[in-house]
Amino acid sequence: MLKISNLHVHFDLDGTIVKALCGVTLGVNLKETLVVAGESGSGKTVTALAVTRLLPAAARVTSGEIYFNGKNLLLLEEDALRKVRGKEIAYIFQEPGSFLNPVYMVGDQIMESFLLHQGLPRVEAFAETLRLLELVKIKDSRRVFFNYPHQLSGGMNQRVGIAMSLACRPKLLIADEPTTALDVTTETQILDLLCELKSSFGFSLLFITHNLSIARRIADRICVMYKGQVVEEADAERIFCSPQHFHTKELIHAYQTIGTQ
Amino acid sequence: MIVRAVHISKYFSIEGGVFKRETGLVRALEDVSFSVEEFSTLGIVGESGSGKTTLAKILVQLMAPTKGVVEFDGSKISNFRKDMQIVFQNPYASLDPKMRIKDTLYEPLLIHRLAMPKQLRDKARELLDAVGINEDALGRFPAEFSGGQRQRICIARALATQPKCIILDEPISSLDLTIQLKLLDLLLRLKERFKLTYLFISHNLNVIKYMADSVLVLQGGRIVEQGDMRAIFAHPSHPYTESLLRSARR
Repeated sequence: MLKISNLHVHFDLDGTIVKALCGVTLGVNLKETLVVAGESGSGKTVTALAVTRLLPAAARVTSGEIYFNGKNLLLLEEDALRKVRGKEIAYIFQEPGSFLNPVYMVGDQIMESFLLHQGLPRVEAFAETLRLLELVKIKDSRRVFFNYPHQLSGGMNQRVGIAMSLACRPKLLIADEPTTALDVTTETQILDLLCELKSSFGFSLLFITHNLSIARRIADRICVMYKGQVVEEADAERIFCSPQHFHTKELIHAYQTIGTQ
Repeated sequence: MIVRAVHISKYFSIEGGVFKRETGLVRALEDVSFSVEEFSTLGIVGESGSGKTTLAKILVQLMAPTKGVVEFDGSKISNFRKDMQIVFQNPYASLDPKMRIKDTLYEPLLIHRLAMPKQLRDKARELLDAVGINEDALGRFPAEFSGGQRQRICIARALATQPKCIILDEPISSLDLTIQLKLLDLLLRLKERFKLTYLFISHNLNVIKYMADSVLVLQGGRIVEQGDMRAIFAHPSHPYTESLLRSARR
């Protein structure tokens, strides 16, 4: 469904060229969970952002192709791309506080995508939003709708983020370390919620993490990145039983020595 | 015994009303006593709010206890500020963003007269080498480094005064697991090389298991369990320790 091949991304930082991605190739199949694992700086987030051309201005895709359901996203017109972004491919980010606008009520922010992408009338959009908030296990959705992000906890904000990303029933959800800022119990709840929604909504999941214990819990396949390249890709079980690349071994070793549940 | 804490309590008062009268008391630490052997590592565990960082601050005398005393072995700890150093949790907050790395490293050397101006550069280079940072870092600013690299620089700064004891207050919690493990290995090597004593604060029992000889478990400002690391891991006697252990197991 998503196919990234030989992707190179360079950053131009005041004249010095930093090669963030050096030939990344990976694919996500229909209704699959692919976990991209690797330490910070390995290019996980850059890969995720490159998919819908959300990279910062200093970044340049120097070569490579990204196909999504047959369309080359790198060559698509900005207008056409906007229809894919958010609607067919949605994101959840690491800091739940940072992607929500602090001066709008969270309900309005979710409702926006019903109004913009689907052109629903306000009353229906409101009802849909409440329904969505209930789907992400927010109990009193009517109250939360009228709350501002700072009135909610990190875990609640992340649920709102998930609701927002699912509003258009995307085909692919890209989750970039969505639980890193949360404590362990909330992390478990959010992961369970994602897995449950995945089977009810039927989207594919591209999940980015540096934490192999999360990978182990949710992945069908795992893709290990190191220094801007995919160094190993295999079924989740295979990665843990017989890791090939030294960085995979490093990640597993770290997880076994000092990782928590 | 290099460090001995005797019946340490720390209370913070809550003030309220127009006249800022004391309306309540937070008991951050309550009757905490322990001692640390020279060249050993004491692990201090507890969840957030259990008083770990308050304890660290009292030990390095950044804060005075309400009751109790901290004793340092008189003959071995002669110059307290020099012999006792601390590495903080957040390497983004504990390095001055406007100081070049060399100035950060020169400062303790100059204050404690450990190097002549001419030797500063060589000393700083040695320190960076000890923590595995390339010497061209000297002229750069903290913003140019990753979290892991910054924490190495903080460790180098702590080593600058040739301390006998270093307090490590969750030094790796903000980093990726692989980088955490590399830093732990570095700390173990440095301990051997410079004959250090560590007080290692963490909420992760697996990290404590990797680093410490003895352990002290804090809950709500009180010590609920302390003793030999292996013994406590094998037979936790307090339910709180048990629950910590459960979350650490996979």
